[in-house]
Amino acid sequence: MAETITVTIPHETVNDETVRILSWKVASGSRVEKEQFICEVETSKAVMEIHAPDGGIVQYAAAVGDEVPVGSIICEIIPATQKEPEPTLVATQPEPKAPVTGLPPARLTPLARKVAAECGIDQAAFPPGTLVRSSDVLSKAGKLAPKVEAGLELPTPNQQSGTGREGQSENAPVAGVPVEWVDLARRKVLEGRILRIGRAACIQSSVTLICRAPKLRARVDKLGLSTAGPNALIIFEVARLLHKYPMFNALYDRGRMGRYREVNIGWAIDGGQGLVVPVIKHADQKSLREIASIMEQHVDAYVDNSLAPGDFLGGTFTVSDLSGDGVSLFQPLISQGQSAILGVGSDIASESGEQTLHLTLAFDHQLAEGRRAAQLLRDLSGRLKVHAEIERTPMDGPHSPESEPFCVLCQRDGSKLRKLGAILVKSEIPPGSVCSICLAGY
Amino acid sequence: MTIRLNSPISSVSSEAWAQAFLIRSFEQRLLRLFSEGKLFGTVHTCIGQEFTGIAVARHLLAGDLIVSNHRCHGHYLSRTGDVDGLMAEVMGRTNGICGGRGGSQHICASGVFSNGVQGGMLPVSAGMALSQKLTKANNITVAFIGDGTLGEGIVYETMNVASNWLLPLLIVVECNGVAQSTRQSQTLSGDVVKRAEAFGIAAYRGNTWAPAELTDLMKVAVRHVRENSCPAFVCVDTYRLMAHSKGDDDRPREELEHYWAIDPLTQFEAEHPDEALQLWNRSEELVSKAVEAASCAPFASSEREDRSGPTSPLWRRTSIAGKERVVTKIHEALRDHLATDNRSFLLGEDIEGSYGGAFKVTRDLSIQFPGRVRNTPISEAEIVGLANGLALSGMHPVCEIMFGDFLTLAADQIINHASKFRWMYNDQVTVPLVIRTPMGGKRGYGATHSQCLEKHFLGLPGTRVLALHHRYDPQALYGRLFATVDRPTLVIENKTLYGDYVTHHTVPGFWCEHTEEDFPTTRIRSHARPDITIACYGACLVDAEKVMDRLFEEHEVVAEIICPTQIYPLRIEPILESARVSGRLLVVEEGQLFCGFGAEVLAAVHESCTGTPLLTRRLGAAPHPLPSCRSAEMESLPSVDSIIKVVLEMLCHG
Repeated sequence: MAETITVTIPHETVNDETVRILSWKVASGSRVEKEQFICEVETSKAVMEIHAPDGGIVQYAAAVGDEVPVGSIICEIIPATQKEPEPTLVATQPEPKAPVTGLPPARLTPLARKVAAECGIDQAAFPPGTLVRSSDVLSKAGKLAPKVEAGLELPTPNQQSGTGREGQSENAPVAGVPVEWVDLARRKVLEGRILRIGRAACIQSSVTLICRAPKLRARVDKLGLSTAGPNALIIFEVARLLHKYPMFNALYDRGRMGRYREVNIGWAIDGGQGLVVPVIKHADQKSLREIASIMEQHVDAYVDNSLAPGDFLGGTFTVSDLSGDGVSLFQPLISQGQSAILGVGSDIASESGEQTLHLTLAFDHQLAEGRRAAQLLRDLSGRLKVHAEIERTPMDGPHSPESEPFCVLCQRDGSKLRKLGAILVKSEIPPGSVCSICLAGY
Repeated sequence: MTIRLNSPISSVSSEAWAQAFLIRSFEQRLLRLFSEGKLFGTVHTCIGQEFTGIAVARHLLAGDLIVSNHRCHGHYLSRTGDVDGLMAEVMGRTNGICGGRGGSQHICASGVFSNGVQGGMLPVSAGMALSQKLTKANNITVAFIGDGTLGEGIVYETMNVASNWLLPLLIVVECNGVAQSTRQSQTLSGDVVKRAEAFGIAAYRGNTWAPAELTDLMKVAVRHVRENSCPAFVCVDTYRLMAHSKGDDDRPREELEHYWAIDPLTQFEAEHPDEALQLWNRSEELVSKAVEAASCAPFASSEREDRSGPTSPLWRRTSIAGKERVVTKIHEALRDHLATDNRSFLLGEDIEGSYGGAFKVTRDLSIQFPGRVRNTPISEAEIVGLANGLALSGMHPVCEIMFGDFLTLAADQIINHASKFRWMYNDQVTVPLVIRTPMGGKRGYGATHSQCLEKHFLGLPGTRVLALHHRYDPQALYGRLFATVDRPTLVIENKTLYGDYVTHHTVPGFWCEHTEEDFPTTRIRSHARPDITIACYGACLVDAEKVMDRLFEEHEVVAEIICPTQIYPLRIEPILESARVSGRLLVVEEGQLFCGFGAEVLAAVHESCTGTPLLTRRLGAAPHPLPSCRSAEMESLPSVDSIIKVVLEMLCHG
């Protein structure tokens, strides 16, 4: 067995998906000693030195300037004694070892192949020997920096230069006005595509309801959820309500309604580095605390630019909150494969200074009607008001034994529940009591 | 053939009397030290039985071996006269013959070996005799057992092999009529001597009340074994004058008084009071000196193995030339071993000829290497016991246990013998023993031929357990094992793996690499950051690879597999390294989960992975015996589908 050491960028050393080779300290084919400094790579945080794990002959597998996926091989070190392969070894070895050169082409999943085709990305664009998921395709699509093409031109619809834009144009400029064409980020193109498909598949309609829940913000602060904001409460409640209103957690296709068996809520974040919609999977099964914590992780990852491609997959419903931007009303757009999106705006009442929430549900009229959408919003508003009225903060500490039992999911106590006609049921998972409302999903 | 000597009384040499008094003085001193609270543990004295050892020892040559039992002091002192070494050993001192580790019943020095489990040393002694025969030495092995041990089946398994293979083994039964407290009349049927004769072994009977005749009888027996290179059996009627160990004696006083009266040393004292006094004084002086010397030495201590801290593994990509099946690779490794190491010896059931074992691993090897590949009776304890004896004699035996399920029959040899010798004998010996066995199900062999029982043999200090798989060349692995083996090593060969091809070509998009140890860990990985780490060993790797392929193709999930070839002692770092990256670790094993491999892995991982959020699961066999019915058996064992299901559950939960 011929033993060759492969030198890779270790997973645990960097947070990045890729690193850049800055410089080689030894020539390919030259001999190195164990622990010798052989290569410098740049990560998002620092420059990292790579040392030879053992002595031998170095053979590059990557060149200076290459973006190398983390975990992939940057060079091999062949034990010096095995520099010349023994003739017998070659004779008995029908397939000489393949690592450095002659790698098989990248392996794409069926979904990745589909997404690549949609995004117009050639499969050959991925490094040989790697694995490519649909998320990798998406991230590659989003990573390409927009480039400004030199000069101004007056393009005619079918005369655009550049790659991937052959075929029919989707729009035409106003006649007689010069246009400067700027390539959009792949991510933005993809976002548009998703929304376009969503728009094309749906007959969009919307209803808006104003929710006066003046103490909601205080409640959220008291719960220690301020990072996630009232959004966490809204997502928590709407996720449960979607069981009552399954037509909004579904998609329409050829005369049928496809109800999703999971409630995965995407929520829009835009902190100035671009709009992203990470997904909270199984939001209907998560506690308020869990949802808030996932949202915090998403925000942290957004700031670090470390949201994983997988974080964006699988959304069945979307929440978009622009209340923080002082927006009172807007028309959210339904994504591909979904049937509804909740937009959250807000207003400050001039006389009392109290905040109101403006809840807008955009929905696919093929699956529901305005009345049904209004019912959902009314239910949601009612629930938010209940939250706002809860004085105590059960999440900040365990209830004292003598205190009244409460629902560990929605935190409503017995008196609140009685008003709603609900009862408390003993629960093992989660431990404690759960109300009939949370238990039934609405 | 029973020989009763009725010849005129020949005289016992003064040297023999001196030995007898020394042994008695030694044993009586031990009892006194116990009563004074100066000794710890237990002791089994041979007071009254001194002449069995003396009568044999005087006929032994350099290179002859003695294998003894819990009541071994007399045998050792007859052979060596080493009062100092034995006293220090019993007193637990570092200058004892086993550094104080063995104590009264586990001694090893000057070609004398003893162990505390009844009958367990008998096949070991047969293995030593086999080694003497194979090396054509003119030596013999003497094994002492008590009549209580006649209840152990291994005694007859050994007599059977010793007679059939003509081993130069002298079995001496010290027949004192009682086993601890149980009278022979309650437990023994038939005639002791006839038992040996039934195996075609020359059998003799003598007693310790006629020491001169006994010495002559032993001379005949030893000569028979040495000259004819075949076993002999001597039943020596005797009487243990003191308790089984210290004070546990409920025999009637009149009986004891009778035997004290006819005791040869008592009679010698009566007839030759002056000489007896002289011998007593000399013996007491030697024993006192020994106690004094031992008291000055430090006590033995528990030393934890010096473990270097965890180091991150160095991974190498390895290519495997050609394309051979696992069974061929093992066969070739065994052939290489036989061809290059003249101390190698293969033993097992049905392994000879072109039959070559139930799974054909040793096909034709007995023809290519005549006399060094031996069929044994169906007796797993005997196979491993013989191999223990061979290994202690410096041979390199390789046993095949036809089905891993039958390891239970050899458990005493593995657990109480092979794994103990080296440490218990203070590192004076090594046990370079290899046990190969096929484990696992999916063949419809049912509850007793399909198990993965290795977990019962994991965690024996001083041993090693390896598990073969098809992504690391078994020939290379065995080659390295045979070249370096220095401890009992159990090698798990899964039945379903035998027909698989050994190649480094794994799932497309992934590759195999290995750590740099002799018995490396295999990692199957890709360029992508893994979503899940799957740890497994042996044939589970086959399913794990299929899981890896389908997870990627159908679920866009990237798995990384960590598959150690050495499952005990286990190097956790490779698993830890991967789990830290993926955040999820699933351990798949074919055996039962409770107290199993996965439990150990997860314990070790959680102990060293503090601070890193890590989701862990185990998957193993259903908690009932394996059914024969194909579909039911498949349902009972981890499958590609069930592994994928667990992985997806783990991914959903974070």
